[in-house]
Amino acid sequence: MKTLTIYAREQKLEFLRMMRSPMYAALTLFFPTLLYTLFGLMVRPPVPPVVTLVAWSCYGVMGASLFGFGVSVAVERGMGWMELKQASPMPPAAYLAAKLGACLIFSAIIVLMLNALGLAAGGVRLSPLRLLELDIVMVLCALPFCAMGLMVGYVGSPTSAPALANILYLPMAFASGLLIPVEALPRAIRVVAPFLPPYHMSRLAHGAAGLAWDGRGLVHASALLVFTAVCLAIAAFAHRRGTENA
Amino acid sequence: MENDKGKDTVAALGGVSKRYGKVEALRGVDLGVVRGEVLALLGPNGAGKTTAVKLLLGLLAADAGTVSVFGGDPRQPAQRARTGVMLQVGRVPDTLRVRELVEMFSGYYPRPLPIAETIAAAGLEGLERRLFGQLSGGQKQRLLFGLALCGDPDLLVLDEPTLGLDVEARRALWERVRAVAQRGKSVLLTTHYLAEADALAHRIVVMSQGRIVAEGTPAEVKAGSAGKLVRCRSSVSPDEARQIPGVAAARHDGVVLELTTGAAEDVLRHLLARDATLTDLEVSSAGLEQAFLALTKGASQ
Repeated sequence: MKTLTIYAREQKLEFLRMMRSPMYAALTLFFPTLLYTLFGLMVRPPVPPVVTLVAWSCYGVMGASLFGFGVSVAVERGMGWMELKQASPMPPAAYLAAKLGACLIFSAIIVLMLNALGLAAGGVRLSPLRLLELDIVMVLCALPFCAMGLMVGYVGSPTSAPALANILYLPMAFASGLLIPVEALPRAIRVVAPFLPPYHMSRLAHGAAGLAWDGRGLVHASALLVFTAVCLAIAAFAHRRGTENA
Repeated sequence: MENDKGKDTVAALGGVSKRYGKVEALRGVDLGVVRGEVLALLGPNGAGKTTAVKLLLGLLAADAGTVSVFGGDPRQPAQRARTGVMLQVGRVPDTLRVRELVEMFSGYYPRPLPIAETIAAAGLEGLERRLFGQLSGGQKQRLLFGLALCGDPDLLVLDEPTLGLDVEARRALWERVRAVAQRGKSVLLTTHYLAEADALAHRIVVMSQGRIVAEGTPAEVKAGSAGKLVRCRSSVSPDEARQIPGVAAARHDGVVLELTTGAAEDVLRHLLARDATLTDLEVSSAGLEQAFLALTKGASQ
């Protein structure tokens, strides 16, 4: 009971902390909405409307997780806040659980906001059940990027983590075919795409939304799992090195 | 050392060494905090005070020696629930309110103080709804003190608690610390102000370059550190000089070797025996602050 209260309070405060931080709120909530409005609603790309919705939702979820996790972990590590919490009787898992929870909540907010925009003005036509399925897949796919964010948070310093997250974010979104369909990418990049997690995320999302896809759900899900495991392993390694030398 | 004090020792380092790469932060340190006492770890930056504190909090692992808090591993939840901590934290998340932060930390402890009492102890009444980022430097520091106090811990560990506080806030914090000790709780604090250790501590442990160089009541330590300043031209290096028993600090300014010691006669016998070419010997009695200053300088070189 007591432990549950701690987790719940930690979750609430982490969400408030992020919500009140203008940088994070703007970066993660405002930008995907703006970009979808500009490049999905005002200028209609020559693809089915759901494809555009999926692309910008993926983009938004990636950002929320990479920055929400990575940058805040690096900053709080750098300023000693993490250490103070570690020295307190806080259950050690509560810290990361709260961050994970907050990233999932923010991902869900982004996905729902874009849903609303797409349904209202983007020509998106999906049955409620399909839409729900798509949204669930989207939010679950935040997990690999949370792991990637955690890796950034432990490998990077408070000053280098934001840059590191950005370096991973945009090129990865581009090379995975989120911004331009994979088929239209230069050959050299097309070869790389299947090694990038957003590629698999968007494949799964296409499947959930009932779009034409390759049907290899298990392959894509496994790819994301492997990616998650690799990021967590690197994060754990960097964390251990950090505690030895701190 | 801990054995003499038996179960009244609440936190102890036994023969602890810790190195970061090539830097030896602690070299065989023995330290015990007794129940009900305020123990001050006094020393210049880089003396190893923070390392000692982090070892006692289970934030670092010792390379050698034993660390125990309330007879157990400091990393265990049971020990952490009895320990309140103030570290040199640069910042707390800016976008949380004073009250939220106090509630957050109070929630971690089994029997916390009432929120209002913690806020009063930190001297932050009326600022409960202020965001951390909007607090002044002193208020931030007091909030961190409040977070250490809020769980009503049996052991209070404060790393440089008065850094950045003005005189008034410093005295108010001293009052709080004394009140904690009067209730039979123990306090371990680090400081590089001799006056602070003198005003507050029952016992002072002076550290320099990873070693304990003096230990005792404030009066004893003052007597020791207010010893003699020995200056001479010698081929003995500061490193060698520090090996001589009784030398508290040693430095070399390029021409003159300068030693601080509470046992000038013994040190001189060693020094003269070791270096037959020694010249320009000068022994002066160092004033209290001057002696401590010498100690500080010696360690920073």
